[in-house]
Amino acid sequence: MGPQLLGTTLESTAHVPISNWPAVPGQAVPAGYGLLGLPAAVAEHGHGWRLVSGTMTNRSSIGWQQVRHSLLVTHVAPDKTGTRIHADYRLVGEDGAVAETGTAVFASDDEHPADAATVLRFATPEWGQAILPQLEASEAFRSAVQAYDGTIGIAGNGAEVHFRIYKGKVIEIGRRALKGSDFTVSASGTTWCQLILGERNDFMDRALKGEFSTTGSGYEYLRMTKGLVLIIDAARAAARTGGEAAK
Amino acid sequence: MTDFTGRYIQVQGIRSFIEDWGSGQPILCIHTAGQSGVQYRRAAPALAALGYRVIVPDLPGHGRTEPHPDGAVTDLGVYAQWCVDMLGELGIVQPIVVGCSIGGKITLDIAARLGRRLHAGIAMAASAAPGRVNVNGLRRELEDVSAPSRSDRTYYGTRAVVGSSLTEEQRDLIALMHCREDPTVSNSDLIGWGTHDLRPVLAQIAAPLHLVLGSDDLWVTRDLAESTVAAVTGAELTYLDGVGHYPMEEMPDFADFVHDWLVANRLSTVSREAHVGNAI
Repeated sequence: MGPQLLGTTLESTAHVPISNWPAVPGQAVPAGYGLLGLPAAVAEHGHGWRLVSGTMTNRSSIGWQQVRHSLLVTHVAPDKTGTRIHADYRLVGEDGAVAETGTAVFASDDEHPADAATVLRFATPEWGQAILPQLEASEAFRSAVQAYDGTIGIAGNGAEVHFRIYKGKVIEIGRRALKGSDFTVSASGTTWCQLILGERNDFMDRALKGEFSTTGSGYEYLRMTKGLVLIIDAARAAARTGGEAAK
Repeated sequence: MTDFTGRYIQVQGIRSFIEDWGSGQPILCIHTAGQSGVQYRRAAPALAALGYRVIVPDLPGHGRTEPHPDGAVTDLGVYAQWCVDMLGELGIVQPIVVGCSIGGKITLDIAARLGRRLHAGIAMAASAAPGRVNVNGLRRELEDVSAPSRSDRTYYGTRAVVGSSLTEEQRDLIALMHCREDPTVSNSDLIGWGTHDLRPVLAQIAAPLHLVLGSDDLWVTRDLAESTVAAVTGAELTYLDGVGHYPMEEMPDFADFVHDWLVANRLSTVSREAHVGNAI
């Protein structure tokens, strides 16, 4: 059974008034701001989620206004008491303009095993392990990285995974390789969700649109263009098959 | 089927290759960065069948044309003057010029150079402002040691900017054909794309001008195309849904698209009915 929550957009139907607290990007948003409307927004869809934390990443306007909430679920993982749900949120004004974007984490008492599958926890070490069978089954990937001795990092949703590769084989997957990555490719949870669950592998389209950022060696990043495309191909295939490599 | 004559002519002392299709009102078709006239392999015969004489050159350093004596060209104005001189060598006056990407910018440049001596210009996937590329990075990549995985990047980068209306097979074919480039020439062309600013000369354009932009073109924004159109008296913009950065390679009805605009603006001296017999 495929994911029900991951990649789903939850939108509130009504605009609600908020006061625009003068927070700065990257700071935790104080109580009393529009984030408090998020639980009510998801409750409209029958979810009794509790807001754990929220972080604003961009705000375009200041002042009192009416907004509607829109959330895209980007990451679902089990925790001790239920499930943690990560979402990218947007506050949309009455004129349709996006007033604010950010990320939010919710706690849920319900279990969501399909959404919490490791093949869908993008950019985590578990995800790396889950897509490994697809990479090992890919002759194209082996050929693309046969002259590579290094580490590729992939990051998003606050997680990062390093793939250590040597002569065409992934020899280690972990949170951090001993010498770090040659380069790390990062994107928002929304981008990873849409890329992995979307109709086609549009990594390069999104890269050209600036949805990805890279740190580390730009040269190695360019050199591994095909390798990255094939890692994403593997991740997309794993998301559809539950991690089983095609025979 | 309409056929062409391929020949070499001397332009600015450069042994230059052109395809010469059909006869009638002349249309010059200019290719994109790093590519060649092969991009018009379907559009040119279709235009010729409609009754136009279609000239498709390979710009200096591209396809079958020898390199420019000063080396790979980073100033699109050099290509524009070469095109003007090439038309002169052929004795063509009052041409219609069609170009895409850097060819679109070259079309704008030619329009400014020729003024009323241009019959009409169709600039596709281009604007007058410098294109948004990392010029410093491109300059670094003129050294081979700084330009890894060139073919992969051209292949995937091309696939990314063709239109969403194309099939996977069409997307793949365009991308594979584009991998035939010379990396040094391509990078130099893109430096020209990122540095050639035609905004100061737009007022010199006197011929009818048609800008064409695909909705899936990631190289040019609609804002940039609109600001170019706003600066040229009488110019118009057509926004094509589902088309990307290469309309002449993506649109099966590209020749009709060009012809219909020319007819609608009373710029075509060609009668479609008179030449329909030239078709396959």
